[in-house]
Amino acid sequence: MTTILSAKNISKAFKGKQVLENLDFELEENQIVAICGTNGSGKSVFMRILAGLVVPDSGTVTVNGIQLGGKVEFPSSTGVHFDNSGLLLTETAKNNLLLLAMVSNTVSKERVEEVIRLVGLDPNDKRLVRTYSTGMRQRLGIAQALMEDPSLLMLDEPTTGLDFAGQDWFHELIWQLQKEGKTILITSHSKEEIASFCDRAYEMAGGQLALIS
Amino acid sequence: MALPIEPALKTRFNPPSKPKPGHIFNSEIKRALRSRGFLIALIMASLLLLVGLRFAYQLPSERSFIEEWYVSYTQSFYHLMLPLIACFPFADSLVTDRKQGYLERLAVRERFGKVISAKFLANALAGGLAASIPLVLLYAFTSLTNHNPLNHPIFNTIFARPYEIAEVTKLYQNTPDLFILLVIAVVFVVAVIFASLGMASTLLVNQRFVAFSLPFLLANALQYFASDARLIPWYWAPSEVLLKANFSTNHDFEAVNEIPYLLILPLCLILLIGLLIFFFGKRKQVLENSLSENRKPKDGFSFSKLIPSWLQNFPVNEKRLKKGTVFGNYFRNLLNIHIQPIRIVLIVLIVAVLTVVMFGWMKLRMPMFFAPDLAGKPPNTWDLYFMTIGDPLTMALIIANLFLFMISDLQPQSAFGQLAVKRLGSRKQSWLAHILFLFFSAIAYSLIVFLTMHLTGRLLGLPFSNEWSVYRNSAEHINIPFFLTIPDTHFQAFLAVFGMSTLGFFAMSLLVLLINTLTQRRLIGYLMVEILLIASLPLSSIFLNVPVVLQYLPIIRNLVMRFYPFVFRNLDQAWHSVYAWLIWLVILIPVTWLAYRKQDYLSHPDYD
Repeated sequence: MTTILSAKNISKAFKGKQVLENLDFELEENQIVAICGTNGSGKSVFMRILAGLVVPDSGTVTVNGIQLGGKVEFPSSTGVHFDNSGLLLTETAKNNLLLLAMVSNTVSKERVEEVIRLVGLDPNDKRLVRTYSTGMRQRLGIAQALMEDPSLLMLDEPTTGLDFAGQDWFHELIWQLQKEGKTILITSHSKEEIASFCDRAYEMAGGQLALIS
Repeated sequence: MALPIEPALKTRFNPPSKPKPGHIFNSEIKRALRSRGFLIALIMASLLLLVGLRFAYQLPSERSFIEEWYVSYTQSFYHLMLPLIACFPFADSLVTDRKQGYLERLAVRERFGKVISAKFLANALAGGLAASIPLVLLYAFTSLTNHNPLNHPIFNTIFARPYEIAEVTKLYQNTPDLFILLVIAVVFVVAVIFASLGMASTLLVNQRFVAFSLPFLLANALQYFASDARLIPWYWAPSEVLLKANFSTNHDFEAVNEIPYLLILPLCLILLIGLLIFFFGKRKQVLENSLSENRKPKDGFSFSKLIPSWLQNFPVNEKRLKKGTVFGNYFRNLLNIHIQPIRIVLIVLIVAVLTVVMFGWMKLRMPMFFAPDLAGKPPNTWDLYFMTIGDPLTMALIIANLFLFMISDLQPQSAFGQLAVKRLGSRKQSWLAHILFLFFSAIAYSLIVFLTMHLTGRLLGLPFSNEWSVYRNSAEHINIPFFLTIPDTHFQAFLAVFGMSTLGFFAMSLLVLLINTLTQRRLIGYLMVEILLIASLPLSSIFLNVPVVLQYLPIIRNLVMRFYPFVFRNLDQAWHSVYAWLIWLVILIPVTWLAYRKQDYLSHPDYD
């Protein structure tokens, strides 16, 4: 299998507190891999480093054969969704995605409407995102990650705020995306949840990743 | 059979006894007096008094210790900065304890009323001490270093003694120590009131910065409207209450029977604090407001819900998809998200109200220019524009303040902004877009202010005119130096005023951006720059007799043409402020890039 993402010797400290320490990680193509851990264990920081949003103190991240940090600061062909949904609360769902689509400059109006439907929302809904429930915001956050049809998805705690039916829908969606050839990296608090649908799972503790058998 | 409980566990889960009376107050006052804010407040107050002391040392050498003490106090701008000094130690503790959940922990251990009163009492005491200790130290310093006899006749003709309040003047002359004690007691009480107001305001608004800024802005606004604009009675000015006598611009306070008027402002503030506590200080309200974002009711109150959506956003143009460059689209997005119609409406409204107030003052100061039998050209909209934008307090408290507040949400990037940066693919381009955004915003803001002031002036009956009015021969009343009125048109004066203010807005907004980026906190940059701006009013005094280059260090000096003590500006100094801002920009632009280059985009909530 081809390695789509690799991180070597990643270290990161905030205000003297070491969050990640010489961490190595590899992600192979077309796999669903999960990272679980307690609050504050460093999962989200690690995901943000992989997405180029946080600069590591040391170490390298390579995505699709391109090392981040030089001319390329953010990996291309990756969709990201973080713990905050990343939405403008005073806009509609469609306008949120349209504004982001304008920046990426590769997405059509039809594609925007398609992904909104894919996550179970209505593209013609005129309500502002402020009125959405947490679950609906999560769905919209996932939609923006899928919008540019990326080969690698990084989803930080995507099931937070989803009810049981929403979680089932999400698992179905992930399997469907895997069938389409996508690679998916997920973080979660719950070992039980990730055990049900992942190919591999890691636990983050003490700034290190350990494979869960 | 019940299992035996280990003694250690028993103690951990069942506190041995109820806290002793006064226990919470003791712990709160210890927290307040050991806080960083208390130290900052002491340093800030001492620095201000040092500025005042510099003035005192310029008095004739026959001055006694009481002249030194009183002039240091009156010339230190203590009356303007007192609310900040009082609120810095502990006024934000209610809101921070609420957000961190500490207040809940206290509330389950002790009666809620006791917790709240301990907090208010500790805050009031810390605020009062922070404001009065530096005055006590000044008293010790002046009385130890100055042994001149009291009441030298030379000071009968100099503005150093309080001559307005007869009874107080007697104290000053006969028992100066008692006079100092009286002033310190008044400062202590007023500081207690401002500190309590700061804390009480956070019962209503769950924001830390409100605790610092509300009393400060309220006091300065009252001072401005009572003492400078003269739109409200003299006794609303905090400087009068603080016994900063004979420096009042609008009132000679000589009659003893006017002393009760000094109680009006403190009593009204106490009433306001009482109402805030009565209506918003109930246990349920205080504790429920605390909690983290997740526990807030989804349909909770929000000002933005009152505003129609068409006023909140410009329409998104679907036709722009897959067109233009990535950078161009990112920049358009910045405009779309940050320049909301409601913000433009607010700017126009606030500037229009300000212009109306200044027009009233204009008529009050020079009524002969508005007389029907005026010989010469009547005042026009240009006069109103120059006078309003050239007023240092108007500029510091409203015009620049409003701009800095409006742009303060650019950094740190919201979660949406982070997704946009990732799609843009470059930190450098994101930085460049922000710099360009601030530059164009500064120009647009200055133009909106310019147009609003002219149109408001026209609505108030002033004519549009290309020619100078009667104010040409008394340019100091419209806050521009005489040499700018020599050309026949207003163009050169406009260029100088517009240039310095626009460049100033741009440079100050870069400073806000830099501080927000480094601290990864919204509003911190705005608050720090605004405090720097307001503090530059008194700090300008330090730079009175220094080389010309250093005179341009205080920010306000470069935003307005004429400003006490810099009331004169020569022809060769016309563009000095523009050069000063250019130096600021040469420093700030690369430094902001350095901050952006290694910036970590961490988790930030979705802002409403």
